[in-house]
Amino acid sequence: MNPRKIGNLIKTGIALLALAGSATCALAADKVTFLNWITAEPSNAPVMQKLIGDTGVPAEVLSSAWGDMQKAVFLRLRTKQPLDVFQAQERWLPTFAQMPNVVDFNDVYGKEFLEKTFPPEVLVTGQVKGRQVGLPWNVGSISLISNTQVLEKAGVTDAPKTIADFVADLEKVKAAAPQSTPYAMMTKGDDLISSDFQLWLWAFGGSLFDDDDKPVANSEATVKTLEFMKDLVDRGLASLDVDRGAARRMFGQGESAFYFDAPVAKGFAEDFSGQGEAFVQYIHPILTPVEKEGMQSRSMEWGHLLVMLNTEAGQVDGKPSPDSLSARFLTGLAMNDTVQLEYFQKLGAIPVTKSARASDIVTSDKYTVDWNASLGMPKLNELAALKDSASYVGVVSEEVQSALLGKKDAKQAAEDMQSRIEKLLN
Amino acid sequence: MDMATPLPGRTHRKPGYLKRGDRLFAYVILAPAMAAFLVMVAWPFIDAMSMSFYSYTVYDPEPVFIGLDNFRTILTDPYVLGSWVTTAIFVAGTTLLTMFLGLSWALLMYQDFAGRGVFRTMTLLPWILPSTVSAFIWAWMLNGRYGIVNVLMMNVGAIDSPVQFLSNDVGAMVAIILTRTWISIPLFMSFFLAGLQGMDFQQIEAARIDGAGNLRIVKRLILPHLKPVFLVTGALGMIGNLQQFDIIFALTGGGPVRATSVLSIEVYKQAFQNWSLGMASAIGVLWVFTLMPIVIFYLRSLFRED
Repeated sequence: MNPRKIGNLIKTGIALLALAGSATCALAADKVTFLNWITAEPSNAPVMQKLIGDTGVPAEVLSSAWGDMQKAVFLRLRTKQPLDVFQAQERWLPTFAQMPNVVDFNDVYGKEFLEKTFPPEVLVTGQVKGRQVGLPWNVGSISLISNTQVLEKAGVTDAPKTIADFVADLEKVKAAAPQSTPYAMMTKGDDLISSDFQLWLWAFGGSLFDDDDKPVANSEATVKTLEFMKDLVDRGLASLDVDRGAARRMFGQGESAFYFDAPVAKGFAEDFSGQGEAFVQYIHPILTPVEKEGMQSRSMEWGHLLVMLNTEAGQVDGKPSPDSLSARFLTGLAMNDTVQLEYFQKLGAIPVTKSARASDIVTSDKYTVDWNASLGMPKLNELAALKDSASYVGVVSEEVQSALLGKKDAKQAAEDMQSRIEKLLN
Repeated sequence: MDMATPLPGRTHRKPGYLKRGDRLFAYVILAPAMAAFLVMVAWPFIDAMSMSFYSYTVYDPEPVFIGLDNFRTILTDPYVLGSWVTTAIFVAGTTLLTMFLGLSWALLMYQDFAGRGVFRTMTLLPWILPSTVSAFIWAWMLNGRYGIVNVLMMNVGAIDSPVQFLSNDVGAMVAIILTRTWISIPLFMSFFLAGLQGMDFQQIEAARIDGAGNLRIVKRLILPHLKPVFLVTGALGMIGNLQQFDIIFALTGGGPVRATSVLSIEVYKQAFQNWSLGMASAIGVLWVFTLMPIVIFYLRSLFRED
């Protein structure tokens, strides 16, 4: 073939590619690319797909398992793949807030509007250093949930108030059903282990950091907490190799009487029990037992947030706007009361807007009323706000696991936890 | 005739010398492979090498040059250094066990018996299955609550209560070694079987007539004959096991604590959990240097055979 003809062919090819590229760019603004983990959960996916459809905004929905979500977001952004809106856990927000093109929702909707729409305790879960980088979508707490059906069979009728009562209840459940794991404690997965550990650490009156943000992990409370957790495992009252998925299954199937989870536990329990809504009567959130009566019971602040990126779909005339596709999509998911209440009724997600929370559907719901009574004094995950929090979560989780497996005694694990946290801080 | 003396009218050529036109043609046909190598292998490796001298986390808008700090951190962190020990245990355990079982199975498949073809084909099954599928199958079998291994052991009275195989150091290491071995046996068996088929069967018959037993035949005839196969499978096995990631990640995620945190898992954790790309690259570079002696040994033995 004539070299000139070859040259012309190449030029035509390049031109066609450029045209295709610009056409793709033009199409990208016609839909919102939304990455979330709810549609990756088979039992929740159909409901969520419908709610997304109800927003009326065309969306390309991408699913990723909860555990892979941060990685999925960063990889999409670093490889410059389309992403306009994504779901985030409240504890990941300080990390996501570091990204350059995350939108401050105060710039989109205006601070006054947000304050008018959301209660302050809900709005704060999406704030990092004064910026509203997360739009609340489903905010509640991590609380202790009990399966009253299992407890009643074991002759337990009252919720335990102290840790000693709690252990006594576990012993009764074990005696009634020797093959059961009375408490589905999280013993697998760094995030989960460190979360359950902190809840019990607070119940023993300890914490990982003091009010001046100095690490205080090497404390009597930490030693007591680790000894308590190891004792449960050693006596078969809790089990190794349990993550949130396993715990939800064990709870729903009547193998466990207690575990820590968010309000969405209801949907999973209904699903895994095989009884659907009829099972709700047995799910009873309770105050986390404390070491001694009179101590402050605590739950852990928890929330699902929506993060918006400053992309073409989020802009009108080159600026973030409430009229943009992304913002309309977010408004439909997080601020439309019909959608919020359906999410609540079908999956137990506690609504975030003032108006939806004031609805009869919410205020007359026994599960939600019980949940609110189980909060005690909610506290933020102490590792969440730290820069490079994954490293701290890894350290705490490894030391807890070392104690549970008997590789270290509780005292040594507490000392190592302290020294490794100090090393990371320096 | 002196073979070293050039024939009249012929110019002396160095070995590998090509005429100008041939040389150009050689470059042309080499170009696509070289381009692919440069883009897919060389460039990412050089990029990772350079990244290992930087601090680059999700918090850094741009990489920050820190010289040898990443390497200094690795070499002074007992937890990261422990990954080399874990890797060595995994690689040695898996390679030796696979070679032993692969050879044993090859010796069985070498025998003449009815249905040999079916057995040989079935042996390939673990190799055909995607490795993550195999890993999940083993994870379920070893599950402390629902696993069939626990059920069988309880039924025969070997244990009183279920054992959490994947939740203790030894159990988790044994599990990843067994799973990787199970997947690798078909490949190793194929190598050994090919080697066995190259043997002179009359030698074995003669040894039998002279009164040699099975063990003696294996020791004196088969093993010496298979020596080159041992070298190749040993080197390939070590290289493959040093690179292993998916099975370990799916089975244990590197836990419990760091009991199965081999180098590949450590790189993953640094890159995708701690978001420290610089540190992950530094571990990756050291990992490559760990692999290098085995690769050089393997290539040298290949070229020596040529």
